[in-house]
Amino acid sequence: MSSADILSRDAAPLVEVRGLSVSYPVPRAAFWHRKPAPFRAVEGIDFSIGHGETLGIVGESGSGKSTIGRALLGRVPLSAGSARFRGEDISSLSGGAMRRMRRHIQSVMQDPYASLNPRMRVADIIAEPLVVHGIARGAEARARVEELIGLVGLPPDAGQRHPGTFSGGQRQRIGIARALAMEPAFIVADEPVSALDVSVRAQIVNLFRDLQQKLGVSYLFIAHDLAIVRHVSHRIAVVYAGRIVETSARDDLYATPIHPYTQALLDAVPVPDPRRRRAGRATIRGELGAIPSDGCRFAPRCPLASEQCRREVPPLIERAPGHLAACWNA
Amino acid sequence: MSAPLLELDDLVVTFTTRRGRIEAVRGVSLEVRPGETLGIVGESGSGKSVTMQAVMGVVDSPGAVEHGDVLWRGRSLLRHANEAEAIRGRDIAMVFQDAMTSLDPLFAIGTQIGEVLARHRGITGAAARARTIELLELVGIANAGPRLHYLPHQFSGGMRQRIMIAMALAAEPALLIADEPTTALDVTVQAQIVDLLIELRDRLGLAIVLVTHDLGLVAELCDRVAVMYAGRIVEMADVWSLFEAPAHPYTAGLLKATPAIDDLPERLETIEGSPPDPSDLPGGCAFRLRCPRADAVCATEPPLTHPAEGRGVLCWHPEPLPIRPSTETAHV
Repeated sequence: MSSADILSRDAAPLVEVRGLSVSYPVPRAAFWHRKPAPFRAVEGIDFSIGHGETLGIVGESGSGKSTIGRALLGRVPLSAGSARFRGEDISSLSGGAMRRMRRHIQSVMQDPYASLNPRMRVADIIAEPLVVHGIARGAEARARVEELIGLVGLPPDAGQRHPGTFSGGQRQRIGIARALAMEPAFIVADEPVSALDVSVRAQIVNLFRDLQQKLGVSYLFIAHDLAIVRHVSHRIAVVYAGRIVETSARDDLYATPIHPYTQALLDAVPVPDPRRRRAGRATIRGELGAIPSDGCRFAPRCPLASEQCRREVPPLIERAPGHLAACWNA
Repeated sequence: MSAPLLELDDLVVTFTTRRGRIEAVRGVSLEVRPGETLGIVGESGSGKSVTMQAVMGVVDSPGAVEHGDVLWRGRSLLRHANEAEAIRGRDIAMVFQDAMTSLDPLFAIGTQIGEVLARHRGITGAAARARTIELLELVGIANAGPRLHYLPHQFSGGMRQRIMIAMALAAEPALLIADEPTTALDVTVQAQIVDLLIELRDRLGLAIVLVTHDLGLVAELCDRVAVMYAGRIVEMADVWSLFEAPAHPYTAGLLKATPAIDDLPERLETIEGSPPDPSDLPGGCAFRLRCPRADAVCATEPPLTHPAEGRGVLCWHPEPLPIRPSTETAHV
């Protein structure tokens, strides 16, 4: 590799997503029915993530935020667009190349109870990816596991125990250690703290930040909790019904939200301070339900919706430096 | 001061399992007065939900109330089983996190609300239909008439939560117990349900017990708060005092570990360790292994002290309260 290649690779983002769309087939209601159009879970998603950077994806259930993560992990096929990791299109890779790339992209999932095999010892759970990818075995793997157990703050004897003997927060540490075993450059974390107790959540949020500082790893951090996302992210994208409606640097989003959906989300979060009670916090009505086939998908719930919103999809355009929003009327 | 609606007196609930006897609720005493909203805050294993299940007489097997009493307007619900059956569901109603636990998926919503009206209020026929529509409109379901024959799954999650609240209100209870009523909902829908609960409380003069892990909801809704840890109330206070000057180190830690959306410390403050396993509690104060103030004396049972009127804290080393005249007193 020439030095020019290295330079250009460093300048390029680690992850680059352009026009990413994922559709799921919808089954026929009955065999004599016409085949329905596929459900567009996400559509036209653009973003990039730099080295050592965290992009937070915020959205409600059914918004498609998890689908974006799954697409980057190669677990669902793209119906359009591309997802590049270090310049290589993830979706075009075949068997061996895909496996080599998967080393560098790992995931941490929401449910630390479901994602760990209860019959395996923790040391074997953490070592498994090392062994599967033929990276380390025997004494070398054991040494690496010990190091990882220390890195994520598990007790030194954790390796000999089974996942069932750990609390939720400790299990999430095991999941993180396992993800880190491959020394990934990029981790997709899908609601990694939402199943945890309040007193434990802050520990894991801090762990994500500490590991990023130590290892320079990048995160796609998917969550519905706007306070938690604010703590871990450098930039944030707000997703509604499969589309990004607003994206900006972290503090801009909270200080000057543009899209009416972002504003409604921020208004809806209860503030842990009784002096700042608001009467009538719910500023938008209804729920994410049937998605309109034309125009802005938020229009049915939007206080600003006009005729144009029901006809034309608003483009995601720059409103301030680095701050993009998709709204005709905001 | 009005007489309490509900009183719990040293309530102990245990579960007998293969691993032995587990005390889920270890001597809880509290009162709920007419029209007030009491928050019960705790993490998993704190016993907050089991306490309210004991009030409703729906503790899951193999759990049982082993000691103490539940009184409704001064009468024991535990010693008067027949009376208790009539009171529960009529005077005390409960809504849950998942609406599908109280709604029967096979019956139309109109039928289900009609049943409550018939059983507890003796209202049937056309009057029941009219009252059902009125109740659904009260909880924000407009144009309810044509939808009475819908099944629960034909509504969205937020709508089902509203229907469950309408069903709970059908019997015209004086007390509504809400166990994590918004936890399964999206944040914009959660805000709608919170607004609804506040509106109903103010319009109907309902007393509410809100069981939750979310300190934001407590701050938003409650007059008084009981903080539970490992089966005990470790702190009780009016909501203003609790958030301004928590006395128990656990309450203080919980508040610090809960980031507000607009404050941004470099690192979140944490409480070390995890909530304890109810089957394996340390002796003395159950929080002592995680507590920054713990010392040798904490291995013995902590005393209940009252640092101010209406406040209680179960701790050997409570945080001293700031000295200043109190301006806000709720029902204390």
